[in-house]
Amino acid sequence: MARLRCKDIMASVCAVLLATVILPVRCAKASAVVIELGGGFGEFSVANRGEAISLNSAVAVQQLVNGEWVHVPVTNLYLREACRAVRPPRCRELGPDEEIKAVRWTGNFCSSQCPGPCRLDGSAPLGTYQFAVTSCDGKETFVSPEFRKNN
Amino acid sequence: MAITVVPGSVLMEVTQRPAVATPVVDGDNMAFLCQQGITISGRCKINGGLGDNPEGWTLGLIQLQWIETNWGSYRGQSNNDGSCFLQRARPPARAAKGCRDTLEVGEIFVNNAPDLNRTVATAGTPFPIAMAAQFSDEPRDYYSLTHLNSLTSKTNFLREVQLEFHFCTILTLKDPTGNFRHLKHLLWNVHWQAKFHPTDYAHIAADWIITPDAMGSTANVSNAGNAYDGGPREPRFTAIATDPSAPNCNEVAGNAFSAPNTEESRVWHDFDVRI
Repeated sequence: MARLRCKDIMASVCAVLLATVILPVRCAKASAVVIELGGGFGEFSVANRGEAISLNSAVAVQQLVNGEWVHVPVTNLYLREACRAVRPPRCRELGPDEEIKAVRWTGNFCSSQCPGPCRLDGSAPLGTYQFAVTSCDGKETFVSPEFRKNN
Repeated sequence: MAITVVPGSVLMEVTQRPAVATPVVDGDNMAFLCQQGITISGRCKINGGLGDNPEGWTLGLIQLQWIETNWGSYRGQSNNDGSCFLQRARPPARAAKGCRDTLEVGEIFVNNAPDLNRTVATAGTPFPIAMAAQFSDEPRDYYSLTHLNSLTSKTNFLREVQLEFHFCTILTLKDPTGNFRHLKHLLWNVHWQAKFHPTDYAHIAADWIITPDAMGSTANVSNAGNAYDGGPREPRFTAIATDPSAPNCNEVAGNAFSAPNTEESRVWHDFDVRI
């Protein structure tokens, strides 16, 4: 019994040691992509502090409603540094230490970033928001700090 | 007793009429914007008896686009620089079919006013239940100020654009099993047509002469009609009103924007805008 208990303790110690070794690595990987806000409304940049990663080009917008982050149907908002005639590819590779300073979110649903046609459009309601970017395989999601939309 | 609409309780009205703005230069583009969007409101009351559960009954708005005119013509500075014509409203750029106007593909109700654009009844709410739906819309489009003519390798400059977007908006009541009962509908539209001329061909950021078309009452106007009882009856509307696979208007317009039908000429040419 004593031996078993010792074994159990050893296993626990090993687990803790392993966890202390592995977890920071996992955390570091999980937080490798950082979304930072700029000074003006809707400005944001996405930086990769870790290994190369493929990100979904589409940027999601979430609103804080009754204490929960709710999807907002903002379309045409992408990880892109400039407005071009062609739609960005579905995935965007971000190398180590690479950073994208994205064209800002206008605050609108459809005309959200670049000049483009909209038949249904409008301004998203006032409130607290955050941006969310997912890895292209959908396994990881990175969110920005929250920000206010006041008009 | 089944859940029913209270007679005389249905109202649908345009509470803010749309107004188009004169086209304006926005960066490298000519922007066709609304000075004021349209706002449409609807309401009704539903009634039921003991044992009737109102949970899931939804009053909302469906919007369909059934007409699109969308072309732009370009000319070089001199005759030998050529001319171009971009057509976004004809196949293959755009299918000859209506579309449903939602922000995201596959949605049925308009969804650009999360707190206002529908009422969903909840269990236990006493009858009669007052329901309301409201939304605003500001359609817009853009044309690039310049287009490179591949036949002459010369920059051609935006010369004229005509846009016409016609919509049908339906106030509808959906029951929890997914059946829609259209209560009212109305038609509205926005038009732009103008000619353009750069004041400095070497610097397109300089002022442009923008001359709205003065022909009759069809250019640079917006209209909104009265609401009629029930839903539209024409197949072009009924076929797409609640079909989950109906084309999405923003997506259709985006595809045509990215890949318009393009005609080019080595000289200045008056293109047939009907094609």
